[in-house]
Amino acid sequence: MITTLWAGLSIGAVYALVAIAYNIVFVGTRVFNFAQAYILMIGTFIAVEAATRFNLPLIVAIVVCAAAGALIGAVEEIVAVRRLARTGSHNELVTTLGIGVILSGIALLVWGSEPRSVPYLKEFGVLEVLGGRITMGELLLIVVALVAGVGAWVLSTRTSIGLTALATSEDRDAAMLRGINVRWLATGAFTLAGALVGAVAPLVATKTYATYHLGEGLAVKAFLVLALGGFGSFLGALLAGSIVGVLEMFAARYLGSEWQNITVFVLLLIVLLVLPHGLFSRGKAQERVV
Amino acid sequence: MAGLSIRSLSTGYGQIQVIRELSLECGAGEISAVLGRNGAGKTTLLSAIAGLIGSSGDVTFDGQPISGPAYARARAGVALVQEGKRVFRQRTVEENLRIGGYVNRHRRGFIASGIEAAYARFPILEAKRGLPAGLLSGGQQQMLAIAQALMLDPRVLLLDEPSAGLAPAIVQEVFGEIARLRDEGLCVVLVEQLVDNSLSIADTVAVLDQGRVVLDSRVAEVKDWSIFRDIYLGEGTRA
Amino acid sequence: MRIGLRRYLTAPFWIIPLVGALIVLALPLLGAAPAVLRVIVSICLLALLVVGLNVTFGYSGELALGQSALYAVGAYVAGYLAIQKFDLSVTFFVALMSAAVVGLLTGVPGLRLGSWSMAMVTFFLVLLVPDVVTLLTEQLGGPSGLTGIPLPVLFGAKLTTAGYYSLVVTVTIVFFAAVRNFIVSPHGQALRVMHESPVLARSLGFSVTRLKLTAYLIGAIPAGAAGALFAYQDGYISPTSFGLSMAIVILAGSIIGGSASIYGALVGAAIMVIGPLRATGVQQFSLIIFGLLLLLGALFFSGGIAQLFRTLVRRYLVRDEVLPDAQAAVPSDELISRLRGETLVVEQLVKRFGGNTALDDVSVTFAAGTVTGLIGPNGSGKTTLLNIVSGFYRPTAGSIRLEGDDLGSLQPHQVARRGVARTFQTPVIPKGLTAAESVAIAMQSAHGVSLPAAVLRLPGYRRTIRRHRQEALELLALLDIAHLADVDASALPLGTRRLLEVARALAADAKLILLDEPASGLDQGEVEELANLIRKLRASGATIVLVEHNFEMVMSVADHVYVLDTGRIVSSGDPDQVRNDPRVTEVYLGTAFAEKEQ
Repeated sequence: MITTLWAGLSIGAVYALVAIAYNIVFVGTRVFNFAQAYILMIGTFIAVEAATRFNLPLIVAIVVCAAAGALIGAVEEIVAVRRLARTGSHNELVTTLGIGVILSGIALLVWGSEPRSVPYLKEFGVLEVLGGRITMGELLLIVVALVAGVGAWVLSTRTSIGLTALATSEDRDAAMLRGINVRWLATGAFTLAGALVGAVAPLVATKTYATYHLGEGLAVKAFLVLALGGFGSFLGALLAGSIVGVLEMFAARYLGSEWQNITVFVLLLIVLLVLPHGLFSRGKAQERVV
Repeated sequence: MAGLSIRSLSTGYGQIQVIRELSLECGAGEISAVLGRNGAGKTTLLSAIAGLIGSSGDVTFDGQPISGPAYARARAGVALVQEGKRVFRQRTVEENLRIGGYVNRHRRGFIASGIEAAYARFPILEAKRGLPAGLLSGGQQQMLAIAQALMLDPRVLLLDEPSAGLAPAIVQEVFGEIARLRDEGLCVVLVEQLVDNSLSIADTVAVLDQGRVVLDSRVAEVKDWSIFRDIYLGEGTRA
Repeated sequence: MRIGLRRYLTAPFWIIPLVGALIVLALPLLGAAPAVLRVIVSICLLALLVVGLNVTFGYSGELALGQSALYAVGAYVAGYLAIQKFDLSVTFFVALMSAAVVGLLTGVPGLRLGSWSMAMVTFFLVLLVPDVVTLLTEQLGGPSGLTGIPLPVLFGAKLTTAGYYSLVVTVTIVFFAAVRNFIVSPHGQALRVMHESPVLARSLGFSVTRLKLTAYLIGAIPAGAAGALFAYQDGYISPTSFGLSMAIVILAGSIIGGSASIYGALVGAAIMVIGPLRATGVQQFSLIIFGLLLLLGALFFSGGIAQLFRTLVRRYLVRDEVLPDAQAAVPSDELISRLRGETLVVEQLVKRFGGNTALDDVSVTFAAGTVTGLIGPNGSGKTTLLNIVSGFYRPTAGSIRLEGDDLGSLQPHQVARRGVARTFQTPVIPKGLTAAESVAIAMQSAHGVSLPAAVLRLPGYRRTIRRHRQEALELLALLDIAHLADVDASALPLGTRRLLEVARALAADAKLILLDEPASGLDQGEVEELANLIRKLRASGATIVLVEHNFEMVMSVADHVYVLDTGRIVSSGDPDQVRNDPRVTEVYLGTAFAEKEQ
């Protein structure tokens, strides 16, 4: 049972990491970047190449993938989002979805449809922690997610750049009046989020393998984590990620793998109906609708 | 030409032309009151000067042009305090001040001394420094909004209806501070709906009606006060 | 060579697609190759999916993206029942119902929450399909697919390939006709209104909940139908046909063809089916191309091919003119008499937002057949009062009665139906409607056409539409803008859109008309016209409440004026009394000023 718990926490860590990346973009721009999970997917393939073709050590692979993720993020903001800064929000869903699909297509084209594995961390084998089995990769994922979540929280509340991002997401005009270049902030948010998912891609690949449709499943589940934790809350993403991951794994183990997604879906519906603003939301419901 | 100078400013929203060919001056160390009914274009004027909306015409300070988007103008020293006591409600008082000082974060010790000065000016803010700004009273929020704008180390301070929704005693306090800022050499453009408050501290007064200036004079030189009544409540309103 | 607007609007252009459809239907008789027939079947099925998406996404603006899941529901239900030897008429019907039910249920989150949540829930549904199928492997064949679906048997007769083809094309034609009739009717216009502004929809008497549910239903049914037909195509269905890739193809088809279009669905579907086929060896690029279509379509070509087509046709083929009935319209006596208003009494109204008291013990009376002005500085509570009277805010305490009927507990659309109409500070005119249509839509909720009448074009439909148009034209004539009746309303200048909002308020048979800063942004001449209009309406007996900053205008038309300041009434009386009331001077100019004047 502890093994299932570890499995749940580690997949939850992956969801949380994507959700943290969603939050970084959301806090900086108020946009939901559907393609975030797809950037992670590309990162896993780059990790595969780094390992198998260039024999790069893990650390270097992480840096390379982070750089790639950052680049893709920046390009995405400039191409798909910037133009739509002040228009209706539905278009951003379609354009970021479009980018995600393009990334899937590129992955399929370049690397084919067979899932690929990365050789990193294999030397550690399977560890025995607290009575449950867990791989080194999974353990690292949990640790990294914690660090990323807490780190993002600290960054946003303690540093001046983080503060300005929070201020901008609260009131864009007021932030501009205080000298904050909101355009660069937007690009910066996308770049940082891309770098984050890129950096963790090699680790994620050890658990999920690199496959061109990794993006879809992650995108939607990470959104659930985002909704449960509250838009804009990094600590909420951590907590929610754990809950979703653990729930999913327990459902798979004790009910069967087909029930995995269904259980999570039911959770999504419950969350949306009961806690529309999530556990730790930043937005408060306002009565002024007219 | 010392101070803020605006020439032939025109602006609007989409099809609606709100300000037509407006010219205005405000010297350093002076308070220029801009009055007028709602819909006369006062807020639009300030938004245009601050760069939130685009406009045609010239805005200069001490002869240097002020142009570009809002954040560029803020860096050039134009600080706008919007109406409605707008502060970042989810951030604490001290965070609000830090955000206000963002453009000056590289100046050694500026933020620290700026915050101290803000607390000296508005002691109540120091008592509430760790509270989210949304929990402050209206008057305190207004003070915070002004203090935040001052963290920009501005040369021009644009105030949009700072007295709105405040109790008279608080208004006196706030206006006293504004007068002090003027004495320290700041150029202050003060937009108000109510005439009397502003006239007690203003050096010049301009009245807007439908986007144009219908009265522009030094306060000391206004002979007949009934002209305000006529502008606000319509001509031929005397019994 | 241009045709007149009259011909353009009244000529039955639908004949062209119908003839085309009949030709397509006859293709087997004309000796078309089976491969061609198969492609057309694929296009028809995809077109049904896309048209459903267009109704929910394109017209209503709801991100209900679960079409491919509903497709799966239709297919599996029909396939399963077919294996149990049910007749196609039964399997088709049950499949439709199942898809409709699932569509409605998964639409429920969209009622209360934002569009993102709606998108995610419906996307998730798509991901669930393989799992549900695996769970029900016994009945549904599991991951390897459902095999053994027999050839279609319709009313006892076995269908050949040609028969199946004819069935698919016929179903497509019928559904497209039905959806087209729906969209063109006031029901479809109501969806556009809701898309533009749910607040406007409510103020016109529509229940937004009902509108959304209708949209989900109409979007789900064609998807179920497509699924039901798809099951019979190869006698076999695989869960992989319903994944996210399919959802993306449907979305791309919608965007390319034009999301707010009916025929665009066909065009989009054709492109998405034929495109990959023509460009052989392009399979591996297909995802990239779909993604590019989505990206570029949403960035640059909002409206898709259909919009392009409409714009070109309108600009180069149609000559603008004023239609004869618009020219001849004159306000009838009956119309004028219907303008008679009622009295609204507000007693001791209190409104608090958290710790902030916006209105404190406000009592006002808007007497029937009078114009009441409501003035006061910023933040005085005028807008709050307006919003409470029109039902958008609930009072914290106090009562609001219209001729004795209590309005305080009603929903906004119920208040609207009871007879309170309003305009908005910034005119809200939905895109895609002409001036006459945007006025006539106000008549829909109270005495409009029913849904069956609209879809089936029953005889009563034309009569009602004609009557509504006549009334709308008379109202436009009352405001001297009848010549703009058939012009795209959202493109009109501000002053005209203001007048249009007033006409719309009158069309709703309002007993009380609330005008929210109607003079703002107008120049002197337009303000005078507006004042004259208000006087004319008062002469006909209407009850008008005017919230305004333009002091002179209010004083020149109002019978009674209330002055608000920080949530309280500080002065009340006829214009002269208010003008000379020192408290009013105080409110606008300040206490010290009043003293200075002495």
